[in-house]
Amino acid sequence: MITRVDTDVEKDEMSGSTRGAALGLTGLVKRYEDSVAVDDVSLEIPAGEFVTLLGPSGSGKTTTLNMIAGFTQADEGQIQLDGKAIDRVPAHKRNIGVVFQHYALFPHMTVEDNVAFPLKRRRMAKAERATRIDEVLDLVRMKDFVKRYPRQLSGGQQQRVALARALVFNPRLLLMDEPLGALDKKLREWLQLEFKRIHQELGITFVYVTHDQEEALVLSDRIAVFNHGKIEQVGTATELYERPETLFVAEFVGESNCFKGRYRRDGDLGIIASEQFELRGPAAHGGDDPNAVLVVRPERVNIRRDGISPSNGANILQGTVKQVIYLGSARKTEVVLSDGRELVVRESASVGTGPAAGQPVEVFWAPDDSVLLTGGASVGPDLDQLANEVK
Amino acid sequence: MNGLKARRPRTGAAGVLLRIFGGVMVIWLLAPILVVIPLSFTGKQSFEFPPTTWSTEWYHQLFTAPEWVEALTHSVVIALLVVVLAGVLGTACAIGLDRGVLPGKAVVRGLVLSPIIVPVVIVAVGVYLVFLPWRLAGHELGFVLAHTALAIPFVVISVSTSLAGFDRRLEQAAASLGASPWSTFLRVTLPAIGPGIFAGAVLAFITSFDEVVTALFLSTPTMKTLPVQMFQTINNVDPTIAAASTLVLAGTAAIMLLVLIFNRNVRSGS
Ligand SMILES: Nc1ncnc2c1ncn2[C@@H]1O[C@H](COP(=O)(O)OP(=O)(O)O)[C@@H](O)[C@H]1O
Ligand SMILES: [Mg+2]
Repeated sequence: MITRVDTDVEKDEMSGSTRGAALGLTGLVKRYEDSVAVDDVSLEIPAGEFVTLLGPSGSGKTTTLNMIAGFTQADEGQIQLDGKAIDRVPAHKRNIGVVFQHYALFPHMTVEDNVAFPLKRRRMAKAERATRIDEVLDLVRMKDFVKRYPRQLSGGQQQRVALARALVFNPRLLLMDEPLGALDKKLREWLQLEFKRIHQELGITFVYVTHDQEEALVLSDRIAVFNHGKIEQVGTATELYERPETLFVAEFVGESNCFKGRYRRDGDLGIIASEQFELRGPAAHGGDDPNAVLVVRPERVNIRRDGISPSNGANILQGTVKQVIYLGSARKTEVVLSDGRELVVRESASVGTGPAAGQPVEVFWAPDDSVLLTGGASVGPDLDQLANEVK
Repeated sequence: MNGLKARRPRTGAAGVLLRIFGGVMVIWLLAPILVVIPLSFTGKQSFEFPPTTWSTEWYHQLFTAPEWVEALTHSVVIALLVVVLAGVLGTACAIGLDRGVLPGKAVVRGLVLSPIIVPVVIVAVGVYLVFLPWRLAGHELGFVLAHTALAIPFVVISVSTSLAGFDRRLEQAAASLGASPWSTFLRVTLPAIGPGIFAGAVLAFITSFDEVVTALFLSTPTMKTLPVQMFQTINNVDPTIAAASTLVLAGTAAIMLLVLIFNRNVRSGS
């Protein structure tokens, strides 16, 4: 079963040609005694893509990853690697690299022995092994630490060794479960860039799990948003941000202003109305819906002033500035609308000085800059659950 | 044994008091034990204390008189076999209790640990009555089996503690890296719980080497262990018993020292 790794293939890989495997998940279900951890998850990941599974804690990301790695058996569904079903292949024969949140380095082995572990299991010759370990520790910039034990390394260093160990046997798919979860912000941001670089250098498929939406936006080619064991939406960062298909996605990915009301169609446009407002947006897919939501991103909303005024058909609301927050290059203005609802406006700091706290303002946005969600898509995230996640 | 940690000495009045108290306790506990050391070097065949004349005759006796040599050999062989048997079974049992999915695990755990609670005399009577018809009484195997039952709880407790602190994700990591379940056990799990197994093995050795109650029941004139031999010669005013005690004492101290050094090395990872 254990095959010797071909050196020529290795060189090919290290030179950065595309060597990822395509991963297909079809109708995956995993039940525990009293809950469904993963509920009919299907996802096609082309070779070489960097896909992130994003969602709050308990949404089934780890369980999905564990099924791909072979640590957990799915109750239903199929997993395919390059078109071949691997459901019956035990974890140790899948050839899939896995990186864990808490590194999972073998504490009784040095860095070198940890990285050599998968190569020894594959009976690679000693000289070849040394070269390979050298290469991969170079890749993660940990060459100077070969003789150290894991506890003699910082968290960030340990995670880089863990990454080297997961890559050294040339897997065509790498799974990472919240690998930066235990590290501080600075280190996290730096390692994110390292992951991106390594992904580009190796060209293999990455499936990355996080509950941090910013991390997902920075890293991924595509993001699958998980909620209650289901995938809510799959798309690029831009797609999720500009065209969220559910309220959960709108609120979980980036900031958003949401208006709940009755939906009805009006020609090319849709109208959402309540006692306090009537707003227009692009027509939704379904018919009339009493429980619809209009979502508009903070940077799509403008504050009326000299030179910035609404064009015909814009949504216009009145309010008072609650506070202004400067975020370096951007400025966030929180507005209390006349009905007491709050709305956030995000502007580039270069757009003159804005109104100060306490001033009355008129906010507006074009209908096309918002999204209308109807037909069950308007169920928001579980706020208790989110409170645990969004720090 | 995993709990032994070097603490920084305390200072101040409380520290002084603590040291005095500790010193008194040590003397109180050790004095009766240490009496045997001078006694073993006495020159006369008597238990006069302190001895007035000196010799190493009793050590000579211990290592040449057939009944002592045989008893000592039996004890060592039996204890070593118990270490192997209780070590393997106890470790397997602890792993099964940690990972197994069988129902009634609590019952199994209770049964396995029961020899610690049940009075040894009762165990001894039971073992004797069963082993007699099986011709295991007076047989080395009988001692090994009985002592293994008594020693297994110590191994199970010690290994269970190690397993509780073991991160199962290390096994998932090993699997993802291409290690079969058996290879994972040998190369990842075993090294991690090794100190626990080692501590359990030491306790198993001492349990067997030190055991006198079941051994008394199972022994015959030609098949006895060192504690039985000591027990049966106590009335003969034979200072060889003091030499044997001193030997056991030195052996135990050496083992404990070994454990300490081993644990220190495990901690510093060298
Ligand atoms: N071994 C298990 N036994 C029972 N329930 C589990 C087990 N593993 C996960 N779950 C449940 O499945 C759900 C999904 O868990 P998980 O996949 O770990 O979520 P995430 O990684 O997104 O935080 C949770 O509700 C969790 O409690
Ligand atoms: Mg998780």
